[in-house]
Amino acid sequence: MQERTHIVRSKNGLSPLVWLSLALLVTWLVLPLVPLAVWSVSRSWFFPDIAPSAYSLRAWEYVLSPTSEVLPALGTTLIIALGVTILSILIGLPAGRALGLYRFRGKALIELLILAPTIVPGIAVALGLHVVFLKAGLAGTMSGVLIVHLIPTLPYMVLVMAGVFANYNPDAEAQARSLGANRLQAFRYVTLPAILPGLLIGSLFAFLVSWSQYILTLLIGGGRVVTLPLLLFNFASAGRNDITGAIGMIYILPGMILLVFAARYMSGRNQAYTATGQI
Amino acid sequence: MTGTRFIFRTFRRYCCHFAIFAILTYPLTIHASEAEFKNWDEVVDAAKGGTVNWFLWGGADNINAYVSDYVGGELKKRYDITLNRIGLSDTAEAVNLVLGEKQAGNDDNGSVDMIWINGGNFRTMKQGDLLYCGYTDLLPNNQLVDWTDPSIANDFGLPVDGCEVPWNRAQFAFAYDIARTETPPESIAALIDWVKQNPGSFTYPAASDFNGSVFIRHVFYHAAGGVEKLLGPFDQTTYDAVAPKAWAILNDMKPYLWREGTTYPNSIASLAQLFANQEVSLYFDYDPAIFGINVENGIFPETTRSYGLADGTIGNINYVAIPYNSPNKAAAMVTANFLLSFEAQFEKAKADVWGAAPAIDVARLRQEEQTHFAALPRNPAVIAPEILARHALPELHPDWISAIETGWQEYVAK
Amino acid sequence: MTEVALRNLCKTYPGADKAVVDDISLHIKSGSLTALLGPSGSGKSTILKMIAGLLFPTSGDILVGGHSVLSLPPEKRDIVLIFQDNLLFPYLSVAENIGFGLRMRRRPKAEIADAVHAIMNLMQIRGLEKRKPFELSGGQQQRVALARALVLRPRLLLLDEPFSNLDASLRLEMQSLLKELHRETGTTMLFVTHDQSEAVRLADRIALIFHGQLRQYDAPDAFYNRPHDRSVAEFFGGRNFIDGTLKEDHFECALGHLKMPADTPSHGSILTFRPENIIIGETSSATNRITAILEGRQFLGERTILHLRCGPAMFEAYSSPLAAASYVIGQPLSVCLPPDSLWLLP
Repeated sequence: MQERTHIVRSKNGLSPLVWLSLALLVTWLVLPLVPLAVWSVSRSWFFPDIAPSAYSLRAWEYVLSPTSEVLPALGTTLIIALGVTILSILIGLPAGRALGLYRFRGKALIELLILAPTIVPGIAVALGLHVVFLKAGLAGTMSGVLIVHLIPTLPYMVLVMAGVFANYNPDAEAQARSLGANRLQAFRYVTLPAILPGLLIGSLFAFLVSWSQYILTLLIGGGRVVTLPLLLFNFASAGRNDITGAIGMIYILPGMILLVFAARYMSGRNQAYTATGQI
Repeated sequence: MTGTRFIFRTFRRYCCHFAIFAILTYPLTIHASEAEFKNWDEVVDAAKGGTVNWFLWGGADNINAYVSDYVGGELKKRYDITLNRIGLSDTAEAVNLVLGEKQAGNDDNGSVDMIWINGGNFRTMKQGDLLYCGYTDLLPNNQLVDWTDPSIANDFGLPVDGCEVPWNRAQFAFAYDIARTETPPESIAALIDWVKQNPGSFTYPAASDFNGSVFIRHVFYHAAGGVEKLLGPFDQTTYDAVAPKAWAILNDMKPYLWREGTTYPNSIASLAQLFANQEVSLYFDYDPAIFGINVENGIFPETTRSYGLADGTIGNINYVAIPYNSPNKAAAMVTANFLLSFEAQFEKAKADVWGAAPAIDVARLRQEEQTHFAALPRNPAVIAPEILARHALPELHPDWISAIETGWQEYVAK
Repeated sequence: MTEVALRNLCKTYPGADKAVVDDISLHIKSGSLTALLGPSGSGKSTILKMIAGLLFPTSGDILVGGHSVLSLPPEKRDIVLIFQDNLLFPYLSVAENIGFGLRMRRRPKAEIADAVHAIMNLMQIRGLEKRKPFELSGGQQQRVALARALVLRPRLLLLDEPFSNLDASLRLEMQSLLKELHRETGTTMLFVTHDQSEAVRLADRIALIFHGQLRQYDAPDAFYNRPHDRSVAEFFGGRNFIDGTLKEDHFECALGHLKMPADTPSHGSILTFRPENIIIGETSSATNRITAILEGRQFLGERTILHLRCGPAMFEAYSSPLAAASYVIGQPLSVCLPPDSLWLLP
């Protein structure tokens, strides 16, 4: 038995098969990015050449110049995505808790309604909302864009949190309270460590969904709130592979960083638990 | 490369929205045509320190740089106006914005001050009373515009009526690689034969693409034996007589197209890619400047050349327009006036800047300014606009265009 | 002094039409070990949660040490409730779990370490400091949960079904541990159980609760010998109920003319007596001696139940299995019902 365990498990506790599939997954994720990177430094690239015939940093020069407004857009996109993530947590956590922990009349209907924005195309929602946002004075503002991004991000957050809380015993909080923790301490030391993996996944979803919003940003932002997808789509639809590549490299950066962090956290969950719940 | 393709593409989809909105908002409609300024000095004074939010297609770095750096810089320097360029992928997005604002009752503090526009989007905005009109005579540089030219006074068959200011001229042209193709076909009739002799070397984007639609119209003109019968409002009888011939030509061509016509590129960018990859031998675009830009960008080979057709190619003017609810009308007017100036038009015409044909009548410029234009070096890939303009064909009424696009989907694509 | 007083305590959940806790008044002496006993769903856990501050009563008051605690949040009550599933925090080590309460009280680290060390000694769980809860046996988890509560030296310790999830032998071990800890620490303890034998084995006093109402609050033996009514007697395993009438100090029934104990209630029409108190066979006492027919017997291992009939009345008595084997079915047996074993129910 011991010998057998030795064969299927490598030192790290993962079988070679798992390593192989991980390697495939990474390849599958990273490989499409290679042409993007090459395009961003290509001067000309003709079919069927395997590599560009001339290289140039022109696309990068343009992208990093003030004319392109890519760097301010990066900041705007980041602020909006972070704000949306925080708001999604503030709304999605209690909502997910209510859905996950309690049974009440009309719960199935509410769950369906929460899912609706993920099924209904964004443009349909946005066209109707545009007038509302205009009247509220939110159109063309960063806060307006932030709020409208909640439409596609909240369903993910609420459903992920509902799933987390469905397997959660709220008595653990009561136990902590009885042992002398106040509300905040009970949340910090008991609730948070238990829901953290789900919370991170939900936040990751919220961040990336906000990060990639195009039509909602365009319509509610009215062009005055310029995010990276807007600039990216300008050039992608025009067939400018070099500039699209360069903006694309910047565009995927935060997502990659987040994914790496999330992956690291998920794989080292036990250690991370200890760290967050350290007494 | 002009805004035309982008502004026009979504016209029909947009028309439906508009019809509904127009009905809903009809009682609220107010006419936004009366000019509020007595003379140009008042406009310039009012514009000082203002901001212009200019919404325009943003898919070309050279156009973006021209607008942001050159136009923006000059406006700041000369008039203390801040130009805010807002890049779009589709001009209809800006039209939608103004429409939404009107629906919400935002009649004086809109977010759009200027739009690069023509065709269906202009029709939508003009007929929906979404435009600020009647100010063109105030602009000093308006005298450089030849309003007697019907192709300027009419935007896709709709009278401009002082609701927009011309900016660029665009005319359809073909491009080829002299290293690969010695004698490209120079008429639609010749193209039909050429395609059959060179199977797999030609294709055109589907009718849903702006440029694809324009190509199909050229075939339609050819089938009709000339454009004259097709001018004016849509006529079903004429359509029924011409359409079968046009579809027959295109269907005969089909087996000789790239991939035997089983599929069509879904955008002009795809066709550019096919040409760059040497999969097809011919490329075309409504804006010949794109040929030079693509060569500059290394997308097309240096040996790219372009030409018009002996029986003419379709041309149009594209404009800038000011929405009725712009809070910065004076600054927008100063911007529009500056765009018409010799300096701005000349800068724009430089091949290394943009290479766009001027919308002003060069003959109305001072002598030395005309010489500048004449001496302008041009990318060898771009055919001279004046040569192209010798054989120009007008655009059709949008109803015609719509009918042709629908017919192509029905009888050719299937 | 940590005497606890419940005054007319009521709890009705929002939307429910029946009260879960219905007008309960109870006085718990300082330093006692009290059981809240009742079938599941009788409202016992709700009472504990109200005392702990995790639920707010609909009406009534809770006094601890003579003062109402209703205005205090749970963390300020100095009362610890140990939940049924012991609910150790899975992300914390054993030592961190035990130190949790002190840490929440922001005690100095050294003090926490000392206290944790001491209580782990007392609970005999030294060496487990760095383990995670999932690495512990059921008994160890139970000890950690107790340690985590006792290290705080609460004025009142509440336990909700503390041993219900343990197997029989471990349950006995933990019961005696709790009894021992109670003796050593002198902490006032109140625990909830549905198992009357556990209540009897552990508690100084038992509060029996049916449907949210207090039925009887007494020392354990009273529930066997002096039950308040037939349902209380039945809950504690009472099987013998015989109708009749009380005539001064005698009870007239199918069993005959029985002498009753001195503290017999003056009213009542049902005679009850425990099967284990019946004396089978010849004895020196002639009081309350009757003759009954053996109808059947049931071997239960350490004893045998005899099913006896006397006239129309049926009753049960316990006998040692050896003696029971010598009795012949259908034969009359001489049976003695000592007056002190008899009790009268309304």
